[in-house]
Amino acid sequence: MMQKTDALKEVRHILAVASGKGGVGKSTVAANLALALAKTGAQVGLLDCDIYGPSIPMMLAITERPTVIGEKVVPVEKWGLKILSMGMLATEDTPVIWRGPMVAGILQQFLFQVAWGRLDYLVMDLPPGTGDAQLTLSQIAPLSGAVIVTTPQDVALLDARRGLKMFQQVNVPVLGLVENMSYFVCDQCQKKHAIFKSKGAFRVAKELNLPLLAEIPIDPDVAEGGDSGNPIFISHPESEAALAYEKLARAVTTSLEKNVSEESLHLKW
Amino acid sequence: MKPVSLKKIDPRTLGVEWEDAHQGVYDTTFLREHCTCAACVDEWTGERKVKTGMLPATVLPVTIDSVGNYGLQIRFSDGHATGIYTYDYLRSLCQCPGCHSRESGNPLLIP
Ligand SMILES: Nc1ncnc2c1ncn2[C@@H]1O[C@H](COP(=O)(O)OP(=O)(O)OP(=O)(O)O)[C@@H](O)[C@H]1O
Ligand SMILES: [Mg+2]
Ligand SMILES: [Zn+2]
Ligand SMILES: [Zn+2]
Repeated sequence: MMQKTDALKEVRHILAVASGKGGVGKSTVAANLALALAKTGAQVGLLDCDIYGPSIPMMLAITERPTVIGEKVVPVEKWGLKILSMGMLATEDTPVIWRGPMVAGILQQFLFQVAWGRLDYLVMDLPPGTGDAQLTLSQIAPLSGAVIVTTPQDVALLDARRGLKMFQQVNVPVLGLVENMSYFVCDQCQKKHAIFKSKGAFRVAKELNLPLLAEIPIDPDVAEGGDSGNPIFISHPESEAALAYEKLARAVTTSLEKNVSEESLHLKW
Repeated sequence: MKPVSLKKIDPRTLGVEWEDAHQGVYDTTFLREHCTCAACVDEWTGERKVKTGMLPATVLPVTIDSVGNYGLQIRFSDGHATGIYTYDYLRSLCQCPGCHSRESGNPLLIP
């Protein structure tokens, strides 16, 4: 029998990108973070496990389907990333409606029966929310850590708290919060303006004793990049947003490397 | 609470030394029967698919590794490797005389 963990043997870190609430920009963060990590020279995979609305294929303009070699699925490669999405399995006439138990099964396959090869980071775009499906995914995947994406609005922050609780339940370290659509840079005066109540995520991060890893500005080019399949990190590498993703990548890397340096245990029976 | 070292006490018994110097003892079949992975526990009903006594005594661990900083992953000789035992859960499963006598059986976080 195939050893299931072999597929992940060469994957150093699996990082979950989560949010308590939908539409906060989780997939956009996951995709651009993966690109930012790859830019540092790391080998990076991107796994879209959002079964309800897989958006990675559109965001990265991927129309290819993964191939299967032997028993293993080979991820699609683009912009230096190895990418796999639930969305790649759906066609127009077979809409993706997975039931809960299937989700766990499919995710197991996505993790364990994929030729991921050697990866420094595998970024997982989780479905929005903190329900059973997310809990199961966090248990199946041997996660090294998670980041929680939020917006400055109060309700999103409340949801972020719930997200933190969920990861604590399964003992996955939450590396910190990412505040998306944090501010915008004014065309006229070039100053940063808060849109919602400012410093919201900052306060919550403090309260939850978590670092605020990055604040990503709202930028029409971000949305445009997502719609056109040309992510901002590639199309506008000098933009404030791209710099914020780079900062996030640095914070994530530092935090994950710190976690491994704690001695790991191994026993051969 | 985290383990600081693992050892094979005998062919079927795992020893785990914890941060607080507690010497945990685990029968490896018992551990497998308490696996919480999706293949072993029905996600919705919580029903255990591998029942006590169903597992051949020849199924033993092959390797045991820490995962992240939160749990142990045990790879068994029948290829089953999806189970991750979080440290809290593992501690609750301890079968050492001290933990075992406190109650008949251990409080299991997940049935
Ligand atoms: N910083 C930003 N500036 C402008 N638009 C953004 C920004 N981040 C995300 N968006 C846009 O907001 C919308 C939602 O983003 P995205 O799909 O990444 O959210 P999500 O949290 O993954 O949503 P879902 O819950 O549906 O999975 C998209 O149209 C995206 O392009
Ligand atoms: Mg999404
Ligand atoms: Zn199991
Ligand atoms: Zn004990």
